[in-house]
Amino acid sequence: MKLRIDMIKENVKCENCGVELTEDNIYVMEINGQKHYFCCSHCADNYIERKLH
Amino acid sequence: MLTTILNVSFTEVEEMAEDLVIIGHGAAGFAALIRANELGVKPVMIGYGTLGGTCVNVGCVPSKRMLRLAYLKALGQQVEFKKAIEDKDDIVSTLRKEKYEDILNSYDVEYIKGKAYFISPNAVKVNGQIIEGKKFIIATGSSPNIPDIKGLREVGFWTNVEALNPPRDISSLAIIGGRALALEFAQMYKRLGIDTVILQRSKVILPDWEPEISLAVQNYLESYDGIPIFTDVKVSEVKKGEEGKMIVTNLGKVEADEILVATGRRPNTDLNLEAAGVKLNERGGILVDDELRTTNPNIYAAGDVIGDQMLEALAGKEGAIAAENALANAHKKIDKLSIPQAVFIEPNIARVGLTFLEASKLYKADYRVVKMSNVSKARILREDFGLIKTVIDAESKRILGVQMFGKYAAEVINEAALAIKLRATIDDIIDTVHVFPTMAESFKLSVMAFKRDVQRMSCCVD
Repeated sequence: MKLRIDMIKENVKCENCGVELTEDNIYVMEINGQKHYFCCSHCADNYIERKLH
Repeated sequence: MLTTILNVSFTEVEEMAEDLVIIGHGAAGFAALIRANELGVKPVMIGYGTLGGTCVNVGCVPSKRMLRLAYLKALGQQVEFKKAIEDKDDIVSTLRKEKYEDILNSYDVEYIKGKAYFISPNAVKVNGQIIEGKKFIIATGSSPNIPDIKGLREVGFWTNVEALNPPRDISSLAIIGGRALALEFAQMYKRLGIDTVILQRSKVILPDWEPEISLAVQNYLESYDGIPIFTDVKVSEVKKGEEGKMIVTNLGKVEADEILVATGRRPNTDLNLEAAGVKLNERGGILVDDELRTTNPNIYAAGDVIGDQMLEALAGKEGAIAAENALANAHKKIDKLSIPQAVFIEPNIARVGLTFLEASKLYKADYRVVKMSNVSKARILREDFGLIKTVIDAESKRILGVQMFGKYAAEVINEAALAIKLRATIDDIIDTVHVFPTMAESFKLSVMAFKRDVQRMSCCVD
C-alpha cells in the first residue's frame, strides 16, 4: 500500500518569538536538563527572563 | 568446604581456572581474543547467536552495503530491491567467514557456542558445563530497544534485523525514531523504491547532535529524498489500519505496510550478573570504571553491553583494552573525547568531540559554521549541500568538537578525531597543508573561520 499520512506538520520554532528555525538561525540552550530551541541567544535570554518572572 | 569435599586444594582450583573467559563473539569479543593471544594467553570464548555479533550480521556491514546500493540506484543504476538483498547477503556471509570464522580458526582459543550465565564471582555455566576463570570479559553486545506502545506487539513490527532481512515484500514503511538507524533505513528504503516516513519524539531529529546539523539533515532528506519527517511526535497507539498498520500520534495518524522501530538499543545483560557481583549503570548497561573494570575486580566489560556509545570501532578498542588491563594490568584508558561516529546516509553525517552546548559547560567555548558551498571540492562534485561546525576552547584555541554533514564526512571526520586526540589547536590545522581539492579542506576552512572570513578567499589560501 502507499503511505497514508494524515498528520499536522509542525516545524521547530523559536520558543521565544515563534520564528521558524533553520540551520542558519537555530540556537539551543539547556534549561533544567531539557533542550530548548531559539533563533538567537537574545531570545534564549528573554525566554529565561520571562520564565523567571 | 568445597575444596575439602572435592579433595583438591585451593591452589589446584586456581590452576584449573581459565586465564581468561570472553563472553561474546562480536567485535569486542574478537578484539579481546586477538589481544589475549598477542599477550600469550589462550582464552575461552563463549558465543550466543550468529558468530560475529551485530555489526557483520545485522548492523554496519549489511546496512552500509544496502545504502551503497541505494546510492547507486539514486545515480540511475538498475538496482532491484530483491537483488540488493541478495548482494548484501553475499557480502555478509563472505565477510563473516573471512573476518570471524577464519579468524577464529587462526587463533589459539577454545570456542564454545552457547548462552553463558554467572553462577559465582569466578564461574559461568554454559550448556551445563561450569567454567571457572581468573579473569572475564563480558562483551555480549546489545539488542533493539522496543518502546512500550499500546498495540505495538500485537500488530507486529520490524527492527533492524527484519529490515535487513525482510520476511515479505512491502511498498511503504513508517519509521518510529529519528536517530542514526532511523535515518539510514529511511533513505535506504526510499531510494530502493519503498516509501518511508519518519516519526521522531524529540523536537528535532538527531537530538544529541548540533542543532544546525539536525535541521540541515532534515531539510535534505525532505527536499532531496522526499522523506516526510515529523518531529515532536508522541505515539499513543499502533493498530490495524484499512490495509496496513496504523500509528496513532498526537499530530495525527500514519498508515503503512510495515512499522520499523528504530528507537535505540539496550545492552544484553541477561547473565545473572548478581551472582558475580557485577552492577549495572543508570543506562542499564554494565557499570565499569575508566579501565573497563566492573564492580567485580576480575570481570571487565567491553562494547555495547556497557550501554555507552554503541559503535563498532569503539567496541573493538574496548575489547583490546579490557584484555590488556585484565591480563597485563596495563591500566589503559580510552580517550572518549576523540571517538568519532558517522551516520551513513548520503551525504554522510559525522561527529567527534563535544557539541557547543556540552563544551560551554566546561570551557569558554566558541564555534564557527562553514557551509559546504565554500568548499571547492564540494562545488566541483556539484554536491555542496551541508555544513561543518567546529567548536574550540576560546582561550587555548584547542579543538573540542567537530560535526559535519557533507560528502565523505565519515572519512573527513578521522582527521578531526586525530586533531582532538592530539589536543591540536586551530593553528595546527591551519599550518597543515591539505590536498586541494578535497572535502578534508572543509575542516581546515572551519578552523580558519575563527581568524578570517572564509567566504572572501581564493581557492588555495595558506
